[in-house]
Amino acid sequence: MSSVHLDKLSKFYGNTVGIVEVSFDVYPGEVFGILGPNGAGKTTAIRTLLGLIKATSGKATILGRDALVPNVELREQIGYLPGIAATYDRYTARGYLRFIASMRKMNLDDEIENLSTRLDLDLDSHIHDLSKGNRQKVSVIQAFMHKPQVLFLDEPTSGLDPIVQREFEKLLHESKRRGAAILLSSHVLSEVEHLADRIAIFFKGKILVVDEISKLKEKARHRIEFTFSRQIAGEDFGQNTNISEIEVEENRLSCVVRGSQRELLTRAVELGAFEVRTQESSLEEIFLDLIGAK
Amino acid sequence: MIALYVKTWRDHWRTFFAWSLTLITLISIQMSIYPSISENKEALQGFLESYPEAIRKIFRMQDYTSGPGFLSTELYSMMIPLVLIAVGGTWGAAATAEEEDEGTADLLLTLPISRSRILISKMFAAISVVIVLAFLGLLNVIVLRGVVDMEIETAKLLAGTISSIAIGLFFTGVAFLIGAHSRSKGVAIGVVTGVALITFLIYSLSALVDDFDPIMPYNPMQWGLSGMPLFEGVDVVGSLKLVAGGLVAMIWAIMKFDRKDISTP
Repeated sequence: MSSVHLDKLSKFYGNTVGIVEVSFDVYPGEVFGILGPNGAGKTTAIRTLLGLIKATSGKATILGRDALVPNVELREQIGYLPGIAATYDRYTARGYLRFIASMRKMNLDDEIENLSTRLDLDLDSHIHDLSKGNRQKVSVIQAFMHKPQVLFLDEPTSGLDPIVQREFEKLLHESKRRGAAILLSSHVLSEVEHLADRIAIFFKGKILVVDEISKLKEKARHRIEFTFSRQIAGEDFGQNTNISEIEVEENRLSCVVRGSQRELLTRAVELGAFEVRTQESSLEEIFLDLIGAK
Repeated sequence: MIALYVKTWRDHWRTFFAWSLTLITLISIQMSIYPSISENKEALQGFLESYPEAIRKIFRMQDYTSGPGFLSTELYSMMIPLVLIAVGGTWGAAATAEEEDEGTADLLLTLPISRSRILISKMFAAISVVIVLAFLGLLNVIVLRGVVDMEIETAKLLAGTISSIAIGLFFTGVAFLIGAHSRSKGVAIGVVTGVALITFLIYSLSALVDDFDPIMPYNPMQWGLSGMPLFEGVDVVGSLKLVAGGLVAMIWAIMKFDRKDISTP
């Protein structure tokens, strides 16, 4: 059973599109990445799920309970790291985190100490004196400190230095191991590629694709370069419908292939290819390809 | 809820301290003038009678030289209620609008506490600051009453304080309501201040302008001030109207906030 389930969830602001019939599931122990350009609907999807904005239509459940109806007990199981790390500036980091813990009716002093040591955060600094990165650490701690079953992370590593990012990844893996479902939104494709088990690509409020990254890569376009024992012409491959962007230079040919490569490879062997080089698409290429197609 | 109540006080303790100091200073300055007035009652009364009737009516200067008349004109008809409106209004306006404006609402509203409980905690804090400040003013007046040798019963001072609190609570409720509708603390404070000043102006001019008569039964300043609490004691009906109006505005604010799409900065 999925921890987070969206069924044709839509949100409109008057005539403006927020998200349109968005559906996906996030399972326990899974990091689900949502990708998309600015304004694609990533944050709207998260904020609708969290009840910050009301859905126009559709259904959503978190841990089996209706997410679109205010539910205080459900929120005990949720950790949220907002896209804008807005905290109460007048507090010290410790005071702020204790306040959040007290709102959760929990004493999390030990966990706050532990996480602040791991993320190298001075808890006694006033938040208004902290850099953007250190404020983000405060936000990361408040999201993880109560060990939630579902985590919503909106641009979580924004402002974090590479060392702290590594520690953040460890936190994420620890949460996965204890069975938390993690929804991670980011515009840093390499980060999502590195952390997520599956992704959804958002564009103009709609989901273009939901899949495992490895499967997306399989289906994606690949650039292939052949070297032949003789001069070759592009027309020799003209019958093959899933190739494009053919470039020929003497006895070398490069092209882009989508989906199965079998037909192309067979034809290349027939034409005397003796060397093949393939280049796997990065998530960035997949992403741009999908967006470009729209 | 207690954590949020304490947090609200903590967030605003500087403004509370500043307004307390302002109120004490204003009361002290005004009351320090009283001995020079009480010592020259007859001359001053004659001088006031030479004022145009319109001015005397606007500033309700009847019996100005008596303790109740002096305090009513100088403090309880405008100064103290306005301070309470300013403080309650600021806390009310900040309750939701500031959280949205600064982006802190996003996290706060995903914590395991309902929106209505969040707002009720903040309302308790705003109501308590109005009451605390009003009683601080009362204490100040009682202490200085002996110093300046002013004759006024404590019960009448209490009546003036209750009327001021009622006015303060009414506008605090309005501030919560505007704050829940707007995402700007500035807009909410501006609207509340504007409404308070306009209703006060209409109340003041109503002594002269008969055209205002039809709307006076709906003017909150009329409910709170026309009963002359320092002379007549608590105007129960007027005070209840104000408190009820403030509560209705607060309940409306809760309902609005419960359904509201929270904006981001």
